[in-house]
Amino acid sequence: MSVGIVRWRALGTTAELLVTDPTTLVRARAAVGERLDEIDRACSRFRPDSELTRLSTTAGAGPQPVSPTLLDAVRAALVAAERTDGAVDPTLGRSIAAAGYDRSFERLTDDPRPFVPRPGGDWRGIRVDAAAGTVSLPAGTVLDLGATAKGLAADRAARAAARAIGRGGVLVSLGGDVAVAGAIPAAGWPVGIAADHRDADPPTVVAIHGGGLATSGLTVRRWRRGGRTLHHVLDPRTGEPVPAVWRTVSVAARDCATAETYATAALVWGPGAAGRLDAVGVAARLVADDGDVTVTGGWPADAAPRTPVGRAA
Amino acid sequence: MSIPPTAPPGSADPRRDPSDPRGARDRGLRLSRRLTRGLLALSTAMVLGFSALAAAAGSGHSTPATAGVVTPNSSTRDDTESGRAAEQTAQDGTTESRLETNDDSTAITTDDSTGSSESSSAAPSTSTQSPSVTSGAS
Repeated sequence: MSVGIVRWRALGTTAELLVTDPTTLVRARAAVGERLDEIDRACSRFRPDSELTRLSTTAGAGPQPVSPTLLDAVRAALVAAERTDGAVDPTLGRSIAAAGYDRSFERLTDDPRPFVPRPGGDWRGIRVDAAAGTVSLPAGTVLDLGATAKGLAADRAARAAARAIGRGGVLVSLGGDVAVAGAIPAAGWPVGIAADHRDADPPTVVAIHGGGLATSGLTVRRWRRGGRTLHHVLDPRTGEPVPAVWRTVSVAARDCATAETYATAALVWGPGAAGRLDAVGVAARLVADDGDVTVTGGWPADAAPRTPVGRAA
Repeated sequence: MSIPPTAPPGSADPRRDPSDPRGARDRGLRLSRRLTRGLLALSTAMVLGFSALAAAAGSGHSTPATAGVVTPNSSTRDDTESGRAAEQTAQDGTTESRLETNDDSTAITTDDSTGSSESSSAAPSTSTQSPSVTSGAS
């Protein structure tokens, strides 16, 4: 079987597209590009002309008409918040911006000003009217869909590409958040697991046979603010970066948005994450800050696991 | 603008005269054309039908294994992807063709012997394959 691959920059990270039939690569690439552009225009926190930016400026002003793409993205974020009891909170935009992450990561610089965190929790006040095509935000809310929009984009892009090519299989990876659609190779799609998605020689390789796989971690996006080293995963209860219990968490689920949701939630849940992921029933691999590996929900053991399979932290 | 001549009302249509041998020849030609058109339409319908069946099967889950490496220059070009192709053999024996592009993107084709199935499960399995993508923090 031949596999065609193309890589490019999108959504502030690396987009990767694999197809089982290389002759379909151009059509698949076009379909994926179209979906990613839609998501970027609707959901980017860094574009002044995005719908998300405009919507946040109308917080407290009642229902606002939005595109179907943004409506779906907000709904997906609220589903994630519900599923995780608010651990994945789309209303932390003000706090992450206060931490200094208010522009694309490549443009961040050290900032001596102190970080004043602001807790989340406002997601319970968001109203989505799918029939009317409107979203209403509580006053003062600034949305950040960063914990769910990438997974949603990968899912939508993979499905769109599969539809566009009509035959064969598709894998879309957005900064390591992976979604597959269409035909699945007999041995599955091999995906490396590493702390950084740019790792070309990952220490662990698994095969996925459908749905999606996502990894969240605390080691890649870090910057300095007010003399502190910060990262982008905030605890909604405090607005502070979560403590480093887990270095990375990888989750496989029925779609990439779900996988991304639980991978991020696990970082917020901290020591109880493995047990909670096990209870939810998703397959996960958690790497503790000291390097210990814990797997749950049918995730295969590493070749030489450092801790017993299924151990809950 | 010229207007084509028409037969006056009530006059006999020479094309319908059975004694006219040219008319008979014309009828034969018309019949032949109709038969040809019918056969063409039938063939087209069969091709479309088979294409639809093949598309339906492909959009399901199975796809036939494809051998050989596609030349990126001719088959992976669009408005953002152009450049030069290179080919190399990886350590695991697979052949890889790479397309260096002009928009900070890279296209590669790899060739191995993996087949396809309809499997769809959320839990991953162990793999000894060389991955083309890595899931990690970004």
